[in-house]
Amino acid sequence: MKKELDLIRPKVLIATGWGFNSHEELGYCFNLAGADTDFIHLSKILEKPKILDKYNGLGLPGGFSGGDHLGAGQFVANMINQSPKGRSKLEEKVNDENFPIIEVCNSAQISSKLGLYPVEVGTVQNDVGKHQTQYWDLSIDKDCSSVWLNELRKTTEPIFAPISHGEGRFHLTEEGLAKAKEIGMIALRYSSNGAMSEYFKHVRNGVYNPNGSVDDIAGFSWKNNLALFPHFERLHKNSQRPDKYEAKERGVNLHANYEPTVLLFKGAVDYMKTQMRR
Amino acid sequence: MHTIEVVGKPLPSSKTVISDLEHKLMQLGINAPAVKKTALYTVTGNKKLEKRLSDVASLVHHDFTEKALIDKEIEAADWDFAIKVDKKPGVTDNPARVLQRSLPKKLKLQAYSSDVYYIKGDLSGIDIEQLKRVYSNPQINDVTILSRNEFLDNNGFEKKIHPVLLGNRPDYFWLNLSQMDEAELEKTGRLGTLNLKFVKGLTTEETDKIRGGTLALVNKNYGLDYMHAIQAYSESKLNTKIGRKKGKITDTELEVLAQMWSEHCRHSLFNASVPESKEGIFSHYIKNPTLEVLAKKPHLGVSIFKDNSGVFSFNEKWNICIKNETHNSPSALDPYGGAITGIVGVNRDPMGTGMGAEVILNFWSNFVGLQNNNQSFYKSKSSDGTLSGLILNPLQIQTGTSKGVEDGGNQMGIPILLADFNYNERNNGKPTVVVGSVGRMPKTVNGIESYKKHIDVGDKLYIIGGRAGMDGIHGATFSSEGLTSNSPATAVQIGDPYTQRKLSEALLELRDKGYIKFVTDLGAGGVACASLEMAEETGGLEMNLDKLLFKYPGMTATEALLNESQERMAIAIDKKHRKKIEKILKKHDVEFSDVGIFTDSGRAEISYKGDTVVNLDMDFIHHGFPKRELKPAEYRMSDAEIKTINDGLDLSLKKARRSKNYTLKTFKEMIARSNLGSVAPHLDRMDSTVKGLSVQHCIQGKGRVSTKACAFVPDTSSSEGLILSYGHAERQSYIDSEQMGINSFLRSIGNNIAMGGRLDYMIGTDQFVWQKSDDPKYQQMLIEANRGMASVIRGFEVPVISGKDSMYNQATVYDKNGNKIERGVFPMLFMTTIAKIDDVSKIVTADVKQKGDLIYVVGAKTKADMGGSEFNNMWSEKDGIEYHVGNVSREKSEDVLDTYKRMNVAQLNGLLQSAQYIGDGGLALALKDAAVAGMKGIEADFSKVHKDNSITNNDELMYSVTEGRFLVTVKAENKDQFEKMFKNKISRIGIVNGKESLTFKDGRDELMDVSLKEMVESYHGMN
Repeated sequence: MKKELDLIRPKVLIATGWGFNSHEELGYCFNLAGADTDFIHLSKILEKPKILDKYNGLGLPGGFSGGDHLGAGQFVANMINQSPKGRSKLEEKVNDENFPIIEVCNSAQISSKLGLYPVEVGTVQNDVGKHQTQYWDLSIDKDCSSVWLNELRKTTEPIFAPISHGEGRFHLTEEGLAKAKEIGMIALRYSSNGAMSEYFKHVRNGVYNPNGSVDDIAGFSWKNNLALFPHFERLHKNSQRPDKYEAKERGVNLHANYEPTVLLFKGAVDYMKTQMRR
Repeated sequence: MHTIEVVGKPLPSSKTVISDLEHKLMQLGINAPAVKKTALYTVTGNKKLEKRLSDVASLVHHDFTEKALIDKEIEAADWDFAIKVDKKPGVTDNPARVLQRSLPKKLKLQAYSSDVYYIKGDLSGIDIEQLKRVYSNPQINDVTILSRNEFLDNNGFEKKIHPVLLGNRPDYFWLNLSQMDEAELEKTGRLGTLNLKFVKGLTTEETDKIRGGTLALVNKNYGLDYMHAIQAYSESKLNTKIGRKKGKITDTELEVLAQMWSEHCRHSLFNASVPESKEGIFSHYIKNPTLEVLAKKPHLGVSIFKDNSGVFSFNEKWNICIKNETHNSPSALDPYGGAITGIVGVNRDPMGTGMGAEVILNFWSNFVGLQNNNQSFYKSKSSDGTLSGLILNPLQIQTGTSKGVEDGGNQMGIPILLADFNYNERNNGKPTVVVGSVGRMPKTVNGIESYKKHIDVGDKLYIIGGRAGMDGIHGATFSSEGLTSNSPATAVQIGDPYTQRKLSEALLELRDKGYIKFVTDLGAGGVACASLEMAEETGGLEMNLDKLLFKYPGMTATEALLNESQERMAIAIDKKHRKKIEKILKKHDVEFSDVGIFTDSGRAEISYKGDTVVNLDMDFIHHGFPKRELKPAEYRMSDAEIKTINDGLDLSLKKARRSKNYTLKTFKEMIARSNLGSVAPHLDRMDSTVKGLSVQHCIQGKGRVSTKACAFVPDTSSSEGLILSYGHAERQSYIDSEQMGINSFLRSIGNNIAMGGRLDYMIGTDQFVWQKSDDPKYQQMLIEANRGMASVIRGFEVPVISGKDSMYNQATVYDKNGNKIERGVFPMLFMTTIAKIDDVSKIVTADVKQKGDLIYVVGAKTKADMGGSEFNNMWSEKDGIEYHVGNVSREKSEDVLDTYKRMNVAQLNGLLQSAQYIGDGGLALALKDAAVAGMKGIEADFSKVHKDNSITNNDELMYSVTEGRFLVTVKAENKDQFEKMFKNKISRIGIVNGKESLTFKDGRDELMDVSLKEMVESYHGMN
């Protein structure tokens, strides 16, 4: 059965254009996890939204769509709103558990502006008032049942990823946050203990949440959509890790892929394979 | 006219932070202010717009977290002052443009965006001019400040818009060079063209004011030669044969020639004959030595000197290209605008190389004044002593340029892994902003080598990307009445990386489909330079300026042709592909104009509104300018002058050395030097991981110490990588420019070798930043610096495949008392090197790794080479005298070459736990950086450092800048193998003891013991 599954290659559509800029590496990670990818300009997807039916999953990348000039993700949200059939197809896919979607950074912001989350979610300016980067530790919520997390939970490597955002602070009302917990949609949180906190302990002054996100939330997942700010897709080899020396001394192969990233994508791709066999 | 103001709803914050906005006010002395910023859109349209304002508002805010106030002012709640920052006419308004792009079909409007800052704080006693500059720049903004009461009394800010309204001017006019005497030729060349139709009744002074703006065709060195050449052309058959009277050319033609013959386009200094070579500096010291190296190593330069960037072969799959340039004067006027157009502009060089490369990395280096210098300096002083033209202070320039590079790189989605900050009084008001990009291109595209480009007769010329505006136009006259409040702000261009991002993706798709025959970028000289350079391929061009897309109507032919509006490229295409190409451009939301066709007529023929405004002989455009001859002169100080200065410095040092705890005090001062500080505060805001190609940032280790090298891969599927590094030694120029040239290059190579770059697979690019290049002394310095660089090209076989020069970085300014001050930069050769590493997982970083590792100094013996050192620089600042004295390092190339080669072998054998090239701060700083980066204590014994007998005191031992030295650590178990490999070229000076401090000894004496904690906190400003 596993051999059969290995031969199946699901097809994932990756949106491009209008200022998205992290699509290539997003596609690369889907390839690493066993899927084939097509890159299509978002304007074309909105012109003929039915094209989404030809794919098993969707990757919405990070970037500076519309230059973020009207607010992060606002321009693309406007363009999607102006395409009623585009919007409704996107909503249909978001609500379809059998169709995993990843929304990275800018795309998580677009979803916020479109109101696609099950509760109202805002993505606002980092509390430090500036664009943040560097690598941050992440923990997986134990109650979140997303396929994206299935394989990731099995990793033996510490989980961390690079970020790059100016408006990455998730905001929910108290009620919203309670509901989010209730339905198990919080997937990832910035964590105060992990490899990056340890590595950078001399210089971070104990800061582990880079943007003030409520409840330290870094990503949500519902109906097998993963909306997150950390850019796992940019950290795909162990040679890229800040703690590469320590990892090497532990016996980690620096030429090999960084395990958490591959497992994140594998969780979704493996699920797509099981859907295809139906 | 309506306003929509987007205000953030109050949200709980997990911690109280002082934002950047508040920091800026605190620097002015305002106590603990709170600042809230809003986005204000002013929109105009027809009557239908009124009913749809809430639709417009929904396009610019997210209701959950923001509210939109429509035609209503904000509640005057808990703030004291409001500052509204509008853009002057013509200044790029990105939010407005994106808003207009995202309007639903039936909604039409004109939009203008402003920023408003609501400040809670006490502004009494604050200088209003300084306050206005906190969030704005007078070059491009109009600022209104209202107190809370004024705001309430007036119901908020006055609604206004600021469209560009260009006065009614002739599209072009005629000049008659036959009727110009020498004085008029000189004036024209220096102050600009004069339209004789408007001179009636004006005094000479008044006519000077209405001239078209400097053409830079007249110069102390070459006098009127250029103007005479153009005058001769205008009277020759080449001009008269098209039916013109002798001497008659259009103003546009003269402006085009001025651009095409400018230093920027022609590099007349580098091509001028010099005593040692008639071909000039470029051929003699850059091209020829490089070609010699490439004869042995052709893969290191597959396309050089003729395209927009230098290209070398990386492997069977990829070519890599690299370019650097500077953007200095614009950054002095508007740091943000200058820097963003700089970084976004240099991206276009790889984009315009061959059939087009994809930019994969940015790099940046900044030189500004000392940050704590808040003194005011002015650009001009009138005859009655009034000072005007307040120059931005160094902190404003550093902050502004940093934000420009941040936005430019982030919004284009290009990572940055390497930056370098330098602070010197010479750069006060004269910043140097070096920007660069690396690109990758597949070896072939549809079977054709991708670095190749050519144009055939009949191919079409398209200008694609942004629209044309008045950006970069010199001259004061936009209307016959002179400047009005609707005259566009022109001196600085503001970029829009978003436009260029879309453009770059469109170009790559066009390239991969085989539609790009030739691509080049538009930069200085706008459409004229780009199209005329392309026209050289076929020998002619016909162009119609009416087809250009303009930001606003009313531009003259000269303005249309020469404006420097950003984010534009020019492509030559086979006309049979037109429709397919236009479809792809439309998909990517990229505007285009089909402006011309390439011919072999031998002429450049350009029309505008039905008239021929340019008809020039192609050969004359490109080769008609007279060759210059440089007559350099000695620049070095006399021995007597040197002795006087040396004695002065000696005296200061002797006195200081008598003080208690001199060694420790000096060390603490040196490690706090801003030139040796961290780049993290700036680079942490800049994306370094986008594209997933980054492997090692220049900020290294647990202690996050900044170094001068970084590593990345061009291709995620392979471990083959690239290492990028810099080097510069500009403070050695006045002592010995030739040695400065050598040492700058050696540093760049050394920084690369330290990380593991292969010496045998390495290329360099040069950036000359000079001043007063018409002065014979500075010309001599230029020749020598190039001579030095050439000796390294040959000696180390590192070809220089690309380069740029900025030659006039000097200015006269006035202090607040009206005293005249001449400022000019240290003449500098800024070298960038990029090298291949076969396995990027084997890079070596500067941080010490393990307790027990042994510390070595590798390479040259340390000598008393204090010339140009940061130590001497520190004393220059303390004493207020520039100490251009001291020995500059003069290592033999064979010795340094040998060290570099052995370092490569050591790295390949995995013997290096850490490595650094010892730089401007000397050995002591290298030891500190290694320890702090690794956050592991070390002890080092300076008496063990191998040195020669020029060393007579500890300062020289600790802070000398002898070239060709590395600080490395080695695992104890590899000691024998390592020592065998380096023989007598090393000294083992210490050990990583894993304690919490840095201990320096001199034999049995302890020099100092400093805690790591104190050093890391000081380095990062954490205390």
